[in-house]
Amino acid sequence: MSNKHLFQKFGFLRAPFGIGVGRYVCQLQRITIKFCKSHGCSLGIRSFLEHDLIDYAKQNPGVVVYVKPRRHRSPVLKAEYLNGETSWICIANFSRQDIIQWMELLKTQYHDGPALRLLKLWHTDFPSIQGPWTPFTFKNPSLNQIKFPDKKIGEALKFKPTATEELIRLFEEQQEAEKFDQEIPVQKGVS
Amino acid sequence: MAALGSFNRLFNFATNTCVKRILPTSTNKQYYLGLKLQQIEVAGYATRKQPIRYKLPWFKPEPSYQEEIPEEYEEKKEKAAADIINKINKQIATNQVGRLFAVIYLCGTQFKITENDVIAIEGHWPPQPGDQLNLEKVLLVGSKDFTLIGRPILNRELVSVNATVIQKTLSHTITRFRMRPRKQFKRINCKHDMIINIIIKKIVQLFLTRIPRTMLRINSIIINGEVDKKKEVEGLDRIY
Repeated sequence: MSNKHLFQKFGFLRAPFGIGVGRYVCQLQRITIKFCKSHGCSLGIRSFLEHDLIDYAKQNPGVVVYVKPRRHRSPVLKAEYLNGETSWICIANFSRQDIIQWMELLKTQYHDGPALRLLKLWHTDFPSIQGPWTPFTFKNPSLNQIKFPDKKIGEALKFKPTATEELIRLFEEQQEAEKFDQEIPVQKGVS
Repeated sequence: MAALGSFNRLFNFATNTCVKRILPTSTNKQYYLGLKLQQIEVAGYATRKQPIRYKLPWFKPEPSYQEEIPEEYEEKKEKAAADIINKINKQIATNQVGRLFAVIYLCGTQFKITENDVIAIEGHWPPQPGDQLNLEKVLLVGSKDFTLIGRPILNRELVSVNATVIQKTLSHTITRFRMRPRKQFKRINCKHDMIINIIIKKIVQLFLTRIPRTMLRINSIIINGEVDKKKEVEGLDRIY
């Protein structure tokens, strides 16, 4: 049961109408509160309407708030955004504090966030400015002139000296040491 | 004689304890800074016998030899650097840098951004929609022809990256599903997982896990003034 087996929309990050390029505009246009006047599961929303709704409407003059009572149905918040998207939350048995937070969330978003699985946390129209990397970036341009097969480039990579090379090195070291030993007695004689 | 012996023993005990107390401070004379960093002892706490040795990859051990840079080499290099910096400054002054990109450090993650990008930040973060931000931890700024690399960040006044908060929302519901093939084992959001999730990412209403996300629009990336020029007075915009 991986992500592709879930019936969930997925997509990339997007922002409608170039929001934030100039002035920020609150994207929430309408919010409809549906509730029951007598049912117990609407207790929280009734208390919200009593204490906090006026403040909410005053603080957000750009948002139209509708309140719609209906008998014996569970309470619901429905938000409509500037780009035509809607967000719907069932708030049965929610406390007043919870509803305050959900109302705040509906105001701060511009689409139903939880309905979309983001594939990337980044959106850009200009993916590369200095040019994308290719195998030829930062390579010596003289490589273009070479005719293949080339002996020097085609050589096997050497990670260790061969036994012959090692022997030659040892021999040379020995020779140098002997030379050094011969020089020292002469210096001693001088001093 | 017996009294003298007992006195001797007492004297030995006293000197031993005293010397033990004095020794750690007197022997560890701190000659250079590297040793000092390693042997920080706080008075009043129980001290370890062996000091904790911090091995951090970016603190290189002090070389035993004295470093000397050949003068001729340096002159050549400096001249080349000055030439390049002049060219960059000319581009900036004549406004020919073109589109800039930057790597910024924000809320524990790095983003590669350019103008009009949208990025999403995960976790609880106080800024509200409509807030204008100036992102100051700029690790790198690049254009088509040059790149300025911070060590680790660029001068706060050299580059200004402006952004606007456009949305605060929740992520999709994240589940934690484990399955072992051919072992009849499937678990989804067990109690144990949920507890971990609640501790890490607490959210408004928790059915499963939804991470709060904040979207940012990058408004501008601007290089102010000349590169490689140190001002006499810095941080005047920050007097509170």
